[in-house]
Amino acid sequence: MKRTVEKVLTITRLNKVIRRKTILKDINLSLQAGEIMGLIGPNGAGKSTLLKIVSGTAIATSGRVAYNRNAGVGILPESPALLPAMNARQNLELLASIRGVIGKQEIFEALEAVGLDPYNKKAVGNYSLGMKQRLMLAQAIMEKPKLLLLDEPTNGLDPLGIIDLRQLLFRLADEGVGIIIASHLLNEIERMCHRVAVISNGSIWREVNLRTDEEQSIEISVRTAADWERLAHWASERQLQLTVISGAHSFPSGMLPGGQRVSEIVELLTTAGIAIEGIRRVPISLEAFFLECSQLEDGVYR
Amino acid sequence: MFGRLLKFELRCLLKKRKLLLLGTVAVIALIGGVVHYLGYSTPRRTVSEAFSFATDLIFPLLLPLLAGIATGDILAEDTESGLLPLIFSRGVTSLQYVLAKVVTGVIGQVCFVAGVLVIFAATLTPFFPSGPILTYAVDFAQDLAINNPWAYCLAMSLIYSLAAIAFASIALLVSVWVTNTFAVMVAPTVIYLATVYALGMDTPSKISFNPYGNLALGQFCGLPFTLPQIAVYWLIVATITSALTVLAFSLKRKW
Repeated sequence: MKRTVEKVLTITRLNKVIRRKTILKDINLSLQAGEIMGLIGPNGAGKSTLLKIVSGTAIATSGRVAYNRNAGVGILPESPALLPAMNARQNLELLASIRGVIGKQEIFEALEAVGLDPYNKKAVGNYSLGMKQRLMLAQAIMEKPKLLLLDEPTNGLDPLGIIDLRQLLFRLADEGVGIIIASHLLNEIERMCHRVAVISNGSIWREVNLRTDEEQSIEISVRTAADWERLAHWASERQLQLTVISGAHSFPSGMLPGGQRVSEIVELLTTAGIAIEGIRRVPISLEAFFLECSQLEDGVYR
Repeated sequence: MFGRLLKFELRCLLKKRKLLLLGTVAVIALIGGVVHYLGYSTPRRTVSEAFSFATDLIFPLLLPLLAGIATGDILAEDTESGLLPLIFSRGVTSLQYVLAKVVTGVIGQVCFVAGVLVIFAATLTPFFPSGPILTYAVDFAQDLAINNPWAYCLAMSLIYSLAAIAFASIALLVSVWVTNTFAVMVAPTVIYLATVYALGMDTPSKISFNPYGNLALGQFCGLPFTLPQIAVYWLIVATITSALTVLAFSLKRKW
């Protein structure tokens, strides 16, 4: 499917200072239509504050947040916020009455999209945490916003709920919705997101594109020590850094940087007479990024 | 947008079961005041005098708490429950939001106090004959109480409504900074009792009149007030606290 390049969110030089403490520092971020972006970082890094500023519940000290306000923004806060005495449909009808842009049909569709029964008369106060989370997701998507901000969307969801959520987000992304997910579940972020921004100490420490070859290294193992020597020579000729990752008791293996096609490397090595035992692309480890950005500083976590 | 937001806030308020419970408690308390009234002597017991006695006895003490619980927490509960971000994400500005809350508070208090007093008056009607208020009326409106008792009751109801709006506005102002709903609900009572205590203290500058009278809710007021003056007094308190609430909330940078 051809992806549009329309930007649904642009954050420019955003700063937030509270009582002389810098919470966010010079944040520049953009999100394209149909893109799912993960926001990860240690507790207190500034993720929630950034989402609050975008959703309008906090004002930045300086900088600019631009998105189509007419198209609205759907948000899923970290904890469910609903009127417990009402049922799911009544909750959504009440919230929808603020903008008045959708009717009962859209509310029914939103409830069905998240796997809830629109005819369920049970008060929301009696819902399980997972059902509340589904309902919160329904309120976020019911007005068909072009921008979705989800804070820990898998909270309280069972494995089936997480799979449903993933499929729903992929479908929304295909429809051109830009989605930002803040979560500590790195494996879910890896599965759901196209791109990840790592926030540390209020700054974007690093942005990683999870769907590109550029960021994914290639692990390669060869049959003999002689093959390894030839591989090292081959890599140095092409100015590729070959990192050793195995010892003497297994096939010699190493890591080549990303940015090359596996098929091309196989062809080149075969031509050079190197016997390849195995080769694979290594997915980016968000855990490694996370540990790197939250490493200890003077004995305490940053 | 503001009209729809106001409708939303009023619908949220109407869904609260606590208003029904609170109204019942208020009517029962007022009936308790009538029982107390039966122990006092008067040339002629009438429905309007029973109404006047009971409201004068109960409301000066109970009104701040009733007002605080009824609508005083409408701002704090959104922050505490997390509903506020959902409202703001729908393009509502902080000014629109806080204005809607203030107007909802005003409408809610007027309806609540009026509802309680109408039900209370209707409850009394079968048990007492109609007639003038000969004994238990506030000092500054004795003539009105004797000549036109229902106009007197209506005027006092208006003053109670205005006082309730002022108390609820105080709670709203407190909730700009305090998110604990319990603390917000009892804030008007605490402030009211503290003021009453301060005014009643034996200081050289003390003016010898009843502190309840000074807050213009009691029947033994020693100052030459008139009904319109007292109404304006509460109106000013309500207006100032509401304006401060709107200003303080709008100027906040994080909600």
